[in-house]
Amino acid sequence: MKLPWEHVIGIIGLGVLIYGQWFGLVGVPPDRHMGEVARILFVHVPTAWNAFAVYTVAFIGALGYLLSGRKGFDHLLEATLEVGTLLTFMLILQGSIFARPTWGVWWTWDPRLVSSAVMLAVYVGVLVLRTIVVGDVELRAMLTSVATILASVTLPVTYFSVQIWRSMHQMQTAPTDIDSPLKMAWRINAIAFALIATWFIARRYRVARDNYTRREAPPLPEVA
Amino acid sequence: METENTTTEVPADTAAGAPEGLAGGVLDGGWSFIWAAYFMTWTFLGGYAIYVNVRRFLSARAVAEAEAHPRRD
Repeated sequence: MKLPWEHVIGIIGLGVLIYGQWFGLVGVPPDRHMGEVARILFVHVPTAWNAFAVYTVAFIGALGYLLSGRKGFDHLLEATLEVGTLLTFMLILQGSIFARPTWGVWWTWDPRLVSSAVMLAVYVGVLVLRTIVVGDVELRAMLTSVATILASVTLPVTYFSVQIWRSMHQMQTAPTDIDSPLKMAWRINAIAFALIATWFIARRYRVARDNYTRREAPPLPEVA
Repeated sequence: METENTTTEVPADTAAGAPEGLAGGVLDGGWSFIWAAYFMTWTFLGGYAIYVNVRRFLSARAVAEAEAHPRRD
């Protein structure tokens, strides 16, 4: 039996994730100021990078569908919307857990936190829209694509929120300002998350395609 | 004259909240938060992996059944 390509990606991703998590927990020395708690960043930052990357692919899928009308873009859109929302939800929970020991609160009305929450809420709204528009597959695909393109406005707002407004959240750090072991832990975990996200998207894409195939299967002619 | 109490209450269960949690300006401890963040991450990734693969299994089976027994509208 032939193993689908995405399972190979998923297995490699799992292996890299196990190594990356071990490296983040054990292989990297404590941070100079934040001590051991900084190890949370080795899951938090890769999750953030991948959430943004997956939502960017969703934007490409939406644009692709509107320009070409190809169903494949709609399946990609459905898959990336769901996986991106999963990652963003994880991102906010990880951030909350990190905020408690470092800021002393689980949540604060900081521009980065608020913009991330708004981003999550907007994309959940797109998913809800996709769920409630039933029957007309073409209309659903078009509405979801338009809504996704509008929702994409939240991506740069969230990313640059730490520069636009006064924020407690750390600004983007240049790789040259980070010690090698920390940089390595981030990169390994980011690759692991990217591989696993690809596996999820590919599986979810197949579900979307199956559902479409089943809906669109032509009925048998009536037996006389 | 009464003076306003301006003492900032820092939650005791934070690494920053406990005086002994600060050693030379470095946050000390916090492993419970680290484990919580990692465990939550693994739970969500593992949970979604199971969810999406079960959905794929069911959708593939439904397609196979639909092809074997086409509907009569």
